Amino acid sequence: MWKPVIVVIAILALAYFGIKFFTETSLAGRIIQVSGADNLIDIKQNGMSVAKGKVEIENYRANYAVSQVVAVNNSKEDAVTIGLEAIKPHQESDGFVRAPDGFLKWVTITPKEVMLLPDTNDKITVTLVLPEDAQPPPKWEFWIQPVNKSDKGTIQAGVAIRWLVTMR
Amino acid sequence: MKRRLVSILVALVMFVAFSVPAMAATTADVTVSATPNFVGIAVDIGVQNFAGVDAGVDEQTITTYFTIDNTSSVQTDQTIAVTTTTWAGGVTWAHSETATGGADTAGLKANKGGTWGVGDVIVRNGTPLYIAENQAANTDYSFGLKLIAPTSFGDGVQKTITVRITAVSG
Repeated sequence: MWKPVIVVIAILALAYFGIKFFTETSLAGRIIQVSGADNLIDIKQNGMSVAKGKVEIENYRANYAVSQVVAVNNSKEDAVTIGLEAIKPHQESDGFVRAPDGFLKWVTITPKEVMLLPDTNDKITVTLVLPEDAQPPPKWEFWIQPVNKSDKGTIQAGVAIRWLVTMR
Repeated sequence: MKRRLVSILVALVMFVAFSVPAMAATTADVTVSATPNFVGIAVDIGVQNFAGVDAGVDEQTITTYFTIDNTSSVQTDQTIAVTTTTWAGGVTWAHSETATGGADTAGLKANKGGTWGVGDVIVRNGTPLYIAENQAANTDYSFGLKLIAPTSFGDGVQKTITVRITAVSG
């Protein structure tokens, strides 16, 4: 009497897990490009600026790559070497907590740095990918900070781009 | 026959109940946006030298010595930090995170245009503090630095550390 029921449940269970598996794996590796033009960082005498100070990601989850191209421009009269570094926020605000330890493994920066002659520019790509086993807080944040490695000054002024991540 | 139909119906209900939420969850869109908040700062004096430092005697600038040219189009939060945990040169100094001098240990404080001793900000390497929280758009400000000198020196070689002000969109 129960045989047909068991068979039907087994078939439906197989269908359910098959659909779930297919849906999740087909999304794996999907890359979402931050929309709009490249984010522009401008290196100036004793300072710098960034055109878009925030990247906001919502409904985020594992296996999605979020990528932003950052154009770095040298407005100084000297050549400079500029690197981008992912760092924890200096302070917490807006309900977002600092990225958990180990978040650096989730962020890739390519290339790590660029050398720019005066009035030239180059591009650096920042990509965030959350691995399957990561368990970040519901709302977390990290910063992408440009560092002028040619700056020999002891008093420096800089900026950082806030990456604000809200999990699904 | 009737039981078989009921069984199939129950199974279908279970299938819909479990699978639809699961599929909906995996297909919800990840949304990404970059906010066009222009953030830009520069400092007018890029080098500071406290010359002739004596053991246990603090040195300071006036609290409006450095000016931050803030061209940000939005309100910003700005922190002040040292970029290393030690002062380079000869016998290195440790940088005190509490701005307390010691043997070959120095500290730094900042003050945003006020009076020394009132609202001083400790300049740290780990977890930097605000020098200008909720700084209004396109509004410059000034600050000074105070060196908390070591109580004793291992040598007389010049020591160097880098102070960095970082602005982010508020």
